[in-house]
Amino acid sequence: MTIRIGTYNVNNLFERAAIMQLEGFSPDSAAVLQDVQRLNELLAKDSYSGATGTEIKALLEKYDFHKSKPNRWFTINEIRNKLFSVKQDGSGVTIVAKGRPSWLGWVELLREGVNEISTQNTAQVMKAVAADVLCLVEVEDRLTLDRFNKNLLKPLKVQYAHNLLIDGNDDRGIDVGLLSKFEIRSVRSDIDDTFTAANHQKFPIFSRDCAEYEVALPGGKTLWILCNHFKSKGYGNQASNDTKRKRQADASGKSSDGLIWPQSSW
Amino acid sequence: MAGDFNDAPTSQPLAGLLATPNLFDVLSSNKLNGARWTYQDAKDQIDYLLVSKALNDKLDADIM
Repeated sequence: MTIRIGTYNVNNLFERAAIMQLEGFSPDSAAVLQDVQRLNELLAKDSYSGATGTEIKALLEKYDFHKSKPNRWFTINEIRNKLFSVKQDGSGVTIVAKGRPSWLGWVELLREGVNEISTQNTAQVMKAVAADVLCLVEVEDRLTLDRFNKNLLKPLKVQYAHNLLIDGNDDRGIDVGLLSKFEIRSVRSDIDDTFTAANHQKFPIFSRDCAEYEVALPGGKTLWILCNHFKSKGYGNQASNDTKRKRQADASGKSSDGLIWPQSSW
Repeated sequence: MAGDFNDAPTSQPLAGLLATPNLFDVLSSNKLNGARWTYQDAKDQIDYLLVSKALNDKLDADIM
């Protein structure tokens, strides 16, 4: 039998982090994401006294958290107790939390709707490719993928009976998933695969995941497909990004080595 | 193995993976002719389908 296998980075289906709507790899988006990363690092500290608090305050004011309409890129979700308050004269913010243990909350990237035409074009591309098994990159979540399948692909007479996606390590809602005309028998996530850094701490290898799908083909054969999205070049330090990408590539090669070769009975 | 690898076939970070024995990048197949790209500038390949030798031997050169 013949099967068509495809891969497609869809740049999200219905909603995308606003910061990623900027032209890919733009200096503006890179700068904001670096600030978000730095803010996350600072907020993780046990104490916000001294230079830490000063830097948190500066970052919050840089992104207009003291104004009635803060920035469009990210917000601070405060679930229990407050991280900051706005000065009565609106001139700035005051950091009121003493450190990580004294409040519950996080930095959350704001999302915007993806252009409707763009989403429709994504469906048209999938129709043209006509893959039987399609690895998808940068999808929000499984129910979004299911909604896209039912509401945009089905009217085009593109029928995928099965879809699967497991949330990965990226908090921007850009995960890897699978559309398949054949049963997806199992999936194994690699989100917990770690490496040990020079400081002896363990970190995830995969920025998103290296999801390993077992697809049951007609006739009893099995297709194993590993869907991946390696670290991009767009943000942060290039040498660091290259190191991460290499680590992910090498780890993926090892995963495929254990999965594919013993079952190559085509 | 499939997906967005975010780097070129000649890049150092992908060198080890692309040199894995019995793992073949379908876009480098000699069954294909013409330009080889997957990215918006129509020059670069950053997306990949790597397949086992068994699958590569049966590759049908119908790639979009």
